[in-house]
Amino acid sequence: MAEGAGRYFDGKRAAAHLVALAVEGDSLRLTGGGGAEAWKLRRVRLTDRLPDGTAWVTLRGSEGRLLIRPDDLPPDILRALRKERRREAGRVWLLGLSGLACLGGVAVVLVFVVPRLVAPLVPFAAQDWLGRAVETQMAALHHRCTGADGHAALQRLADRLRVTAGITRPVPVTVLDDARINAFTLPGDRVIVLRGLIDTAEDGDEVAGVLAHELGHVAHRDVLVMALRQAGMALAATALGFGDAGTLTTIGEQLTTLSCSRAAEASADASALHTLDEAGLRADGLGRFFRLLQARHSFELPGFLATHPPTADRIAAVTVPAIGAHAFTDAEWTAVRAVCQDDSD
Amino acid sequence: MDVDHSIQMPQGEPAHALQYDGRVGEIYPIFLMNLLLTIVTFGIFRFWAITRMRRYVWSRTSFQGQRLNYTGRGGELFVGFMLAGVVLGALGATAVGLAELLKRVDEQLAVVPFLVLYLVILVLALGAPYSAQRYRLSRTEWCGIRGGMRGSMLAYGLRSLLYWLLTPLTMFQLIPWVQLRLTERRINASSLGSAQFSAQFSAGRVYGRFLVAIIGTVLLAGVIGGVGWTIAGPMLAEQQRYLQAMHGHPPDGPASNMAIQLIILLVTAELTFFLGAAMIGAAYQALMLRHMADNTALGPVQLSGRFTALGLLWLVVGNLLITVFTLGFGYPFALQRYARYVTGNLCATGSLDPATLSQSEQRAPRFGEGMFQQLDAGGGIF
Repeated sequence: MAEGAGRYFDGKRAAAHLVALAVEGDSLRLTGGGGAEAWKLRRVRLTDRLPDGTAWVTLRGSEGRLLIRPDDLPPDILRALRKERRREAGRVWLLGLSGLACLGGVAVVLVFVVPRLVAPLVPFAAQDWLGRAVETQMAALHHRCTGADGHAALQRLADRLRVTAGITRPVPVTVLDDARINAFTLPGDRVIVLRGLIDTAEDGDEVAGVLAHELGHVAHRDVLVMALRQAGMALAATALGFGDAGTLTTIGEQLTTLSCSRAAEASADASALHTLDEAGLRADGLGRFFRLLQARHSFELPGFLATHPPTADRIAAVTVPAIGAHAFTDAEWTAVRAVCQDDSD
Repeated sequence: MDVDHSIQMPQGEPAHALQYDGRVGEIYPIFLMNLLLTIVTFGIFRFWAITRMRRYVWSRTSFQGQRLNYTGRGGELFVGFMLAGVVLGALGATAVGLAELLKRVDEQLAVVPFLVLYLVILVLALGAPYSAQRYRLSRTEWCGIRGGMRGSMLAYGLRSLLYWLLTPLTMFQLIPWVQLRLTERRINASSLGSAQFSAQFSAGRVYGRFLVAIIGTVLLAGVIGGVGWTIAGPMLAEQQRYLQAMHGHPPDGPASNMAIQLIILLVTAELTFFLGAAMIGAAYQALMLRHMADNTALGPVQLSGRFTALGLLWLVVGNLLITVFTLGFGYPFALQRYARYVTGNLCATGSLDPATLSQSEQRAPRFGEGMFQQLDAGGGIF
């Protein structure tokens, strides 16, 4: 068995000892004047070569260090050390990749699994508080429309539809004086309609279709799930050290632009048709409204559809015959259209 | 075992305390690979990148003819970072919760938890360099003997906060004292094995230069402003007359020439001021570095510094230009210059005896630098 030499630092004193090296079975044997040590090869690590031709050999869990000159070592010792080095590199890659996979897994769970599970557990008071906060924030930017008759007509319709849809809590509807064509649901079962949507709609049944669609989101808790999903993404991003910690305000802002998944949208559409039908109202409004918007130029595609433009499938799915009563009387529809005109005098 | 006598033990004349033999050509592959992996892992690799770079720089630095060995692992930095994130998150959540509770009592009271939170974060941020230094020392080995640091990061953070709060009360005259006291505290807590670092600084020795630097900067601004105004004043008056004569029509010809001259004058004045102020600042900083080095010892090894204002200015301005004009890709050159400057200007008299230097008794932290990485913008390696 060939022997090599090295300088051994015992980790107790700085002074170096000259030792003889040999590979014996699965160990590296260090022998010097008074003592001997056996280092298990699989716990041994070899560093990169230093400019003076030396390299460190360390033993995991030990303070002892061995300084060798790889060029002067017998080939069998060097081979044994290098093999460990390669195995170590393999372990590092394995660890790194599995670490990344774990992080990815955690992110997927946080974003896709946790929200659906946690949403039913969030107390209504917390949802209501969040929704109220967001609504106050938005009302600070855009005037709340106060037309009493119009608002009453919208609320009457919303109440009728939500009872039909089996929603037990009241769903307050708020109209904001904003020209964008949009409507959305906030946590705490609140629906916001922007004036632009009412202005654009050709009749009350189209507005009723959109309202029924939003009530579908309320029934399915979609917004809460999306909010939790967003929070999960923010959490995952923050944990990884990039991205800003999502403050409540930014989460609030994002709530208004949340895009629900295609499945959630389709399911809300289906609920809308079903609810309108159950309530004995015409259910063709939603489909007509989609087509109306689609006919517009793409760059002015409104927020309501910007994130998930109506595919042919989606429009086809909501195209139904016009059977049933109108959602609003003519007087009601006139009042709804005027809901944002100041009637304080 | 046979004792090996290859460790140098210089005595008498001061010699370079550290030798550095790194090469830019060797740093580049590490730097570029780090950059690439950091990008493809969305930044997560940076902990391993820092470690790889430190391992290189340490291994190219020798003390008494023996190379330093960096034994830190990237995973330790990563876990430390995650743990610090959890702590900060918990602190933030606690503050939000308390604020909600207090809001029910009194709307005004809700601010209190956040004020406390900011103070706590400030203390943590000020203490973070302390624990980061502890981690680095514990991962730095010389002849198998590692560094260590005692003392509490929170105590240091609190003390720093107190000191920095005091400075405005003294019209900022306390700055040299604060800088020296805090550095002294960190050095005195540090050790290499059984050899203790010791420092004793005196703010009185640098205060004169500090005062000169402040007065000098103000005087410089005054002189440049005065000279500039003497030249620009008549030009401005001329321009004013010209513009009035034009009745607001777009001026060209003599007036626009004058505008260009004014801009050149302004830029020249600003550049002169910044260069002059940098010179004055460098003179103060160089004196600080010399004072710190001259009054620091590692066991029987007395350090001394040869840092000069010009040398420091050349290093800092040069590195700034290198980094800016290469869009960061010149970093290995900047690193190399930095390492050369420090090792080339730090001297030592006396030496550590390897036969008596024994292992550190300080417990090495398991993870490292979490708060430092979380709260300090510094992603640098030192």
